[in-house]
Amino acid sequence: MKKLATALAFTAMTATGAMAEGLQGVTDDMITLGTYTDLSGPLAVWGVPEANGLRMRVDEINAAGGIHGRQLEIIIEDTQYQVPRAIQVANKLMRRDQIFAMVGALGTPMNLAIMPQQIEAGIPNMFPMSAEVEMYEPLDPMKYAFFRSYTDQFRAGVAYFKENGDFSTPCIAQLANEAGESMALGVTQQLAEYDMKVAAKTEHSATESDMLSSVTTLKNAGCDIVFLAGGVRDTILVVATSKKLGFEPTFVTGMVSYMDAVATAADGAMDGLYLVSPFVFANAGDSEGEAKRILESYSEIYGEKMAPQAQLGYVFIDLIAVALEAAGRDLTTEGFLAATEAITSYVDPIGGQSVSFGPEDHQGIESLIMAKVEDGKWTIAARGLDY
Amino acid sequence: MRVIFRKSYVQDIQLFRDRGQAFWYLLFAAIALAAPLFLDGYFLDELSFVFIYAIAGLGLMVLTGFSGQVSFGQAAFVAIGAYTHTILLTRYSVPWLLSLPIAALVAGLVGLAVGRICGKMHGLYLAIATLSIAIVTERLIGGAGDFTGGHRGLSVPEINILGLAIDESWKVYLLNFVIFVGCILIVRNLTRTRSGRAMIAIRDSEVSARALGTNVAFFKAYAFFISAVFAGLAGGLLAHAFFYITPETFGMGESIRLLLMIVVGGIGTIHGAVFGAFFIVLLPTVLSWVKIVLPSAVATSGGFDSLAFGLILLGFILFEPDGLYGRWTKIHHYFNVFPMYKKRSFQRQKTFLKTERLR
Repeated sequence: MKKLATALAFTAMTATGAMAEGLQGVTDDMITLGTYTDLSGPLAVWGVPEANGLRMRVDEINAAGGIHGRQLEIIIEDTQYQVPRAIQVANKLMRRDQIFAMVGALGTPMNLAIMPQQIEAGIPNMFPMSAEVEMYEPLDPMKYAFFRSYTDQFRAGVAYFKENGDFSTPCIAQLANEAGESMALGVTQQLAEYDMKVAAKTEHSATESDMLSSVTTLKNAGCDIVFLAGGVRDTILVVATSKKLGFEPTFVTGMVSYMDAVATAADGAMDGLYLVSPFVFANAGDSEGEAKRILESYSEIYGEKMAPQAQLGYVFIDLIAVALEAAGRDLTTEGFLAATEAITSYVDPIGGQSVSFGPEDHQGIESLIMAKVEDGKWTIAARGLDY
Repeated sequence: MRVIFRKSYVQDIQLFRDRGQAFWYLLFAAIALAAPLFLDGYFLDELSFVFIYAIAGLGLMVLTGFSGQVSFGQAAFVAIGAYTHTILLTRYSVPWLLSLPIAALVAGLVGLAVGRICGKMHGLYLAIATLSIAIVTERLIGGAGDFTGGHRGLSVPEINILGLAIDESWKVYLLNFVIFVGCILIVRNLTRTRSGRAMIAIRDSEVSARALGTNVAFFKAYAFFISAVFAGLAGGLLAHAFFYITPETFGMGESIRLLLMIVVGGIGTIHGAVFGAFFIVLLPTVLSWVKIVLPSAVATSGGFDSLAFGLILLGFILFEPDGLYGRWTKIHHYFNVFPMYKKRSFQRQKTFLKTERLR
């Protein structure tokens, strides 16, 4: 039935002429991909390594002769994490650069704003750098997401602690934005399964530099587990402030904070912080084989450790390459999307997470992991989380 | 140089100074109207953004440029306009032609309230007060839950005027252009009326204006109202251009961008708002062309756009505080009076302003 719907959608699009050119971004010897990410704004810490990872895999593929005789090209634009800028650059990518597909576009509000017209223009939105559920739902032939949603991440986090160690007074410290809202939603939804309620909930904005009032509220409520539904900086601030006040519940956060800067922040104050993530942040030291080669060659090219976002960027292009290989020399958007849908046993070469898609499943990574900071380093506490 | 022989006071309030000027503006308008014939969709969308930002800039120009009240909160009114318009369209199925003016009016009334409260403040204090309005509005919209869609935002329907779908770039472009021209005429008209002159009098010296019998409090609030109406109108149009609105879209950064826009354009002139909008919207496009010739290490580094933007801004503040339009008038004047140009022609005469600087 879904196949039929997909086919119908394509027919409709072809009929209205939206895909009249069909092969936008594809020439005899080149496939042009595009992305918009944050290279100089508040999320540059995500965007810059991502861009490097994307470029690195593209360069590798090109050095190895490209795909079916075509070289890959990726055009990366900076949004500064502002929706207006994102609209402008996406407009440029779609209309001037004539990209074949959008890969790893960063930011939930940006994706939500751009996706409708992008899909109408027949440009697939592949693996956006956002773990919002709208990235794959409602099901659309043009939408493929990599991550499991923020909501899922937090539901799995709640379920994990319910089974391992239990808790009695769960609390939420939420960042006032759409990601924070989705994360907090996961906590309340999962707690409802156990007939539990959130004991205390605080909200802070991204620009706040003092979390004292939030932390005091949480402390007075006597929370024994605090779900940090937020970003990088506020997570560090809440945990560090709590340590200073002698308030030490279990802290659990989501994938946004999964980076070295968080693990090493505030002189070891982050030790014991838990995090639920759909991807694995691999270290060159603990890896072997292909993963080790990738991590080391990244460090060689960019002169720094391969950040998890760079690993994601690398994997995104790798997945695209797999689909393009399978789609063959006679490339069409339908063929490419069908090939993506047929990916069922892909294993991420760096983190080892398995990725699969299907006619009714446009969300790639299946299982979640629980990471934990130990001695200023991220370690893996558990794999295969679910709820 | 052409000197106009003044025969009546009516000449002072004419729309165009002389026939030559009228010819040029009408020519520009004709080119702009014909633009969809020779520009592709990408540039039409960019120009639509220019027009919308210019409308918001015109509003801010009335407030800051004419009545002399600095505002870091213009994006708040843009947000109110965008949200009101979207909510009216999607939830209450109000026709587009009605919804847009209502949105502008709602933003205007909020602006009026703000103006009444902030009317007694000056300089730094006014800046802080308006800044806090920008922050509070963003948080309120985000925290309002399902009504505004919270932080998650709302998706914006297509423009539909009396059953006519405005769904292609050139249609949106023309619509925005028409509204933009209308706004310019309104502001141009405002500067020729009693209220416009009262605002300028208040800007130049509040004490003198009061001494001459101007109702200072009223006209200050009135300036806020007009400014917010324009912002709300721009917000409604911007919502369509964005397709999806979230409170973050209209954050503090956007307010500051709007203020920078009129400073770069040339504060206190209608041209300034338009030039500034061109600058803000088209600079990234121009930079993307520049990047092609730059070495890839520079071009792919993240902060390039911000750096270029900052440097250009710095250049303007240091060397041309009158902005793009100020530079243009100087160049124009230089050729007009050649070889008799003297720098002093543009020196600021009103030194008495200094006494009121720090209030």
